[in-house]
Amino acid sequence: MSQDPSTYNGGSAVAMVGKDCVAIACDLRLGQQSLGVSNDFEKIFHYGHVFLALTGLATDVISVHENFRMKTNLYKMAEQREIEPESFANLISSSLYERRFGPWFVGPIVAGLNTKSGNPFICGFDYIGCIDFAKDFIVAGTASEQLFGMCESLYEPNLEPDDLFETISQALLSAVDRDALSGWGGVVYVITKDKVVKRYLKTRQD
Amino acid sequence: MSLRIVPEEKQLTDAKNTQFGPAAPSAPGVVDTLRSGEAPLSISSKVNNRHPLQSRIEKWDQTQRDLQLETYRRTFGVADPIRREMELNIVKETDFRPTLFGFSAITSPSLDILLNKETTIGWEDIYTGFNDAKPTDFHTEMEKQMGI
Amino acid sequence: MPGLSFENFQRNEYLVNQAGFKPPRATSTGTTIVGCRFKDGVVIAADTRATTGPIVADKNCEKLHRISPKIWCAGAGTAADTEMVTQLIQSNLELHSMSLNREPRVVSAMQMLKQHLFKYQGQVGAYLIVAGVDPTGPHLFSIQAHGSTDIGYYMSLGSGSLAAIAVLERDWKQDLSKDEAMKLCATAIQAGIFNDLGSGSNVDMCVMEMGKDAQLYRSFMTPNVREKKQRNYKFARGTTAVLRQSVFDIVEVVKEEEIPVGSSDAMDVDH
Repeated sequence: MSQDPSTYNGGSAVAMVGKDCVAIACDLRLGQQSLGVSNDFEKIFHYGHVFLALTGLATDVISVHENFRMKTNLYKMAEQREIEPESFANLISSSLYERRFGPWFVGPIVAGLNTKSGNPFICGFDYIGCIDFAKDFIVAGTASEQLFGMCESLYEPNLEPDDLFETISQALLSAVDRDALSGWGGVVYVITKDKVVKRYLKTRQD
Repeated sequence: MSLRIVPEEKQLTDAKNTQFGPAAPSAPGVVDTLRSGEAPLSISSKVNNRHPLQSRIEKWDQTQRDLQLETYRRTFGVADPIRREMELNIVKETDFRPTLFGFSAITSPSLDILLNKETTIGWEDIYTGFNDAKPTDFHTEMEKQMGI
Repeated sequence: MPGLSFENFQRNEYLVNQAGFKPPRATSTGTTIVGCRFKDGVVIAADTRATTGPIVADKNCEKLHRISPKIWCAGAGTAADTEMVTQLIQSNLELHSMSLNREPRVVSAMQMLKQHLFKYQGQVGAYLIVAGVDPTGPHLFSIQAHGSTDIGYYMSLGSGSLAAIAVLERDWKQDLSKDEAMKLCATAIQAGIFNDLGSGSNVDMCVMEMGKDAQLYRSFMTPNVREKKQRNYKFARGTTAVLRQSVFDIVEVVKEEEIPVGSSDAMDVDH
């Protein structure tokens, strides 16, 4: 099976904007090509109030996450505050571009609310740091094509947090059911001004 | 002495044992793996299979500088490039860094002025390599301080 | 090592050559970009589609980059490269013009870009149309990824450049007016949008005129608006089965206290 390194372990992620809220979701599969290895490999991390989903080669997912953990902690010490989503997006972009000629094979998605303005923010990246700013939804991972289709039809603007949860969950579930490399459970974060709700979804296990 | 603008595409013709890691003080012929923290080092992996751009980019600034100094030598005589290199080395030896620049700027402004880089920004100013830099360990620091 | 890192190269090379993987695809702008001089100014325009292979990655991306207030640049090729290289040159030009205390010139921007791209031997895949006005007049240049440059009155670049240049060749004439030039560029971009698969969505435009501020027209034309959905697929709450949920609070609520100006106890802290 000839494929690119970012499909070796499988996995997908999606983020959506709602009314004063954002949601970010991922599947839980870690595989070695067609062999499933783990069903609790969470691909969503958070640095303060900013959420980051990392799909792609699992070894790089972990390296990149640890790298950003260091950088956001240094940022927090220097600035005496948590990093905002917009700044974090630029941090990711420049960090990935540093490896322009020896890239990490990851597909990141950022989601969060700006603490000052309260505005929802999501964006996605290619593996060398080109930012894709979107006002509606962002997808990444091996099921990205399926997710594109699901989101294009299911997405509505200005959904309330509870409705946004249903929409993003159904989009994720339907998409990963048609991708052999993704699935094996799912996790959804719905982020609002005063709380974050994390839900594990009941999914197929094949 | 040449007037090259672009670095030569050249593979290393020879490589020393201790070229890619610190030599052990007690056995100067071998790499001190305990100190470098790397696994026993394969020189071939340090030399072969590098990105085609890597050596070009690494040697770029030096090539430009050599060209400039060579031009000065031909125009003003050898004293000029010697003076410039001496000044550069004096600045490199001093660790004066205005606090104004904070922790972010790695290069010193004096060095930038001597290298005629004070009004340019390259990737090396943005990606300073700060995050990959290994902190010097206690022993190395002590040996440096005591001149061992 | 400072600068762009080559650290993962050997590992990636192994993955690609020995382990039989193929390298992943970076986002490409696909792109139709054009530039056109008019009587005392210059206009550039671009489509807004970004692609990853056959997938439309971004339907409304920005391909017009500001290098200085009156020098703008349209980018085709690898999206990350066009973005980063223009940002770098933007900083350089700003620093340069502050040091010289002069308005930046378009030739300086072009020279900096071509020298940078030449250094990277075309591996930085940025194909650019640089345009702007400076004290020496309006200028229009194109730069290829290997560092070669062209000067012209009208030009197009990117996968839709053939469609666009056809329109430009047909309709361009010397001493166009500003409105004619804008119309010509918009038509050329639309030729790319409709006839090239790598280009699509909207027309962005930037007009730079002598003695005036540059004008960016984001979504100058939107010939591909999606029809509003007549009904929706909203799910009833509780549709999705949830195994377990946890609620936590990590968003710090920042409350800023306003200190009235001139009050006596406001400045007590600073001694």
